[in-house]
Amino acid sequence: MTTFIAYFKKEHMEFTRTYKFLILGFIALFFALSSPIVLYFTPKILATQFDGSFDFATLMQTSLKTSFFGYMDDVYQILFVIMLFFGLAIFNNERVKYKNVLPKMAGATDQGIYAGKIVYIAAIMLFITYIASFINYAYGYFIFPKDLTLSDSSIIILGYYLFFMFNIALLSLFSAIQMKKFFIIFITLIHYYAVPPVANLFKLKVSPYHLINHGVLNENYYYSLIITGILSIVIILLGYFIHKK
Amino acid sequence: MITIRNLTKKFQDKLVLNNLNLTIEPGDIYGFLGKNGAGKTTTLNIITNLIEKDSGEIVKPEGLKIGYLPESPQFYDYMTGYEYLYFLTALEKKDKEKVLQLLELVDLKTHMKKPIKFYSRGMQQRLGIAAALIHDPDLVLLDEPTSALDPQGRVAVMNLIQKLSQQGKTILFSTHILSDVERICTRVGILSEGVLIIEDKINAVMTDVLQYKILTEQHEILKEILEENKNFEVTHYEPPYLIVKPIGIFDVFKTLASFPVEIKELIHVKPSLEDIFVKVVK
Repeated sequence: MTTFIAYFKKEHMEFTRTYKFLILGFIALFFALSSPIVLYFTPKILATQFDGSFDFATLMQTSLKTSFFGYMDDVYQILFVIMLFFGLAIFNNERVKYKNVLPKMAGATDQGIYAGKIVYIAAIMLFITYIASFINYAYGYFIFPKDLTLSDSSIIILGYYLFFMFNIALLSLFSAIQMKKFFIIFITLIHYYAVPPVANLFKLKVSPYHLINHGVLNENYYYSLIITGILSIVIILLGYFIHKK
Repeated sequence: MITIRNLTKKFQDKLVLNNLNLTIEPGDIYGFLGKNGAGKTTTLNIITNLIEKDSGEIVKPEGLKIGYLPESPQFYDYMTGYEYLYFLTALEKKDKEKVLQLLELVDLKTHMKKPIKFYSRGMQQRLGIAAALIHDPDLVLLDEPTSALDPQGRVAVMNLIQKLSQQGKTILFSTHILSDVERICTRVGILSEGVLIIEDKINAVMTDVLQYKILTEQHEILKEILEENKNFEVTHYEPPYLIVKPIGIFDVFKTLASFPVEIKELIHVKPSLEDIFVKVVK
């Protein structure tokens, strides 16, 4: 437990002092503030190009919901690519660059290090994405027709967040089994970008991929939330026990 | 304090340690010598449980605390020296006093608020030693603590090792800087291709290869006399000198004077540890 707490605090220090926190927060906020306004003006700008002869507003639905989903899609994709490299460094540097030698000699345990890191990433991402997404929601609320409630948006954020953490859990597991960096990047990217569309072909009612599908918040969505949460925890625990072994 | 018996380790097909036997006595400053790739770091990593051995035995007392400084210690360099040591104490029990004491010991107290990334190599090495001492170990293992340091940095680390020894710590340090070993070690082990080929007190190792150069016009006669005498071994003739090695400890001058040969010059050849190392490792 002492290793977990020490590493949780250490990760916080690393995220703030090496500007990781600032980078992630800036990107999330930048998109939160820019995407509604871009969406709002895009039909108007396009209309000026066609001398007002074509009504783009009928083609491009601009509502709070489309604005919000558009933001979630964009920001999570960018955050994921950044987090992939941050995460790789976070999980691999200890072992590959031998940064864990002195702490281990001072009593740190591999599983405590792993747990401290992944819980910190989970906490910081939860914090950043909820704050930025609510700002985006609030901003869109004043600009667009209101077709999304705050409670529904909270659940959608949770869905994206859980899918994100599901991928981070996989990344940490690949790192725990000491897979080569290149393969970790390759497999995780494939999983994040290519698997969801393929999985949709199978028309699964419940799956982690359901969460980023702009789906209706029905029973299947809630089951998908639970399943993804459980799967992420199982993968994280697997990584934990691999380190313990 | 620690006895290693028949330690063997292979990396893929390469045999790195081949039935290594080694003993570290309490109070030793043990110089662990060997060429690059001889297996020194592997031995230290096995003693500290950072890697697993293939076979063999490491006998150590129950609860023996070991501190370890790797060859290139890696830090979280955005932390200050103080924060790093405090972080290490927090892994067991937070202890600000201990951190300050260690910073004092390694002479980094004036730099304790500076981020580690701005430390010189010597300062990082001293911080690494402080980190190795964080849980008050009985045995301190230092892997090449002086390599890549400038002369001033080397002297500072050597002095620190001597200070630790005076505080009752047992120290093993691996190095290929033989003058450092000659200066401060009490015992020495030379590792070559995974086997410890010499292990003894430093004085004994030096005495073992002690040689004399004898200048005489009757070197053939002297050679015959010495070959019959069990106290000397004639190694070779290096004109105009006959090179001999005493076997055991005795009064060489008195013994030679007793022979019926006129000796014009007697030169005591004291080899450096480097000579010994080159000779045995070859």
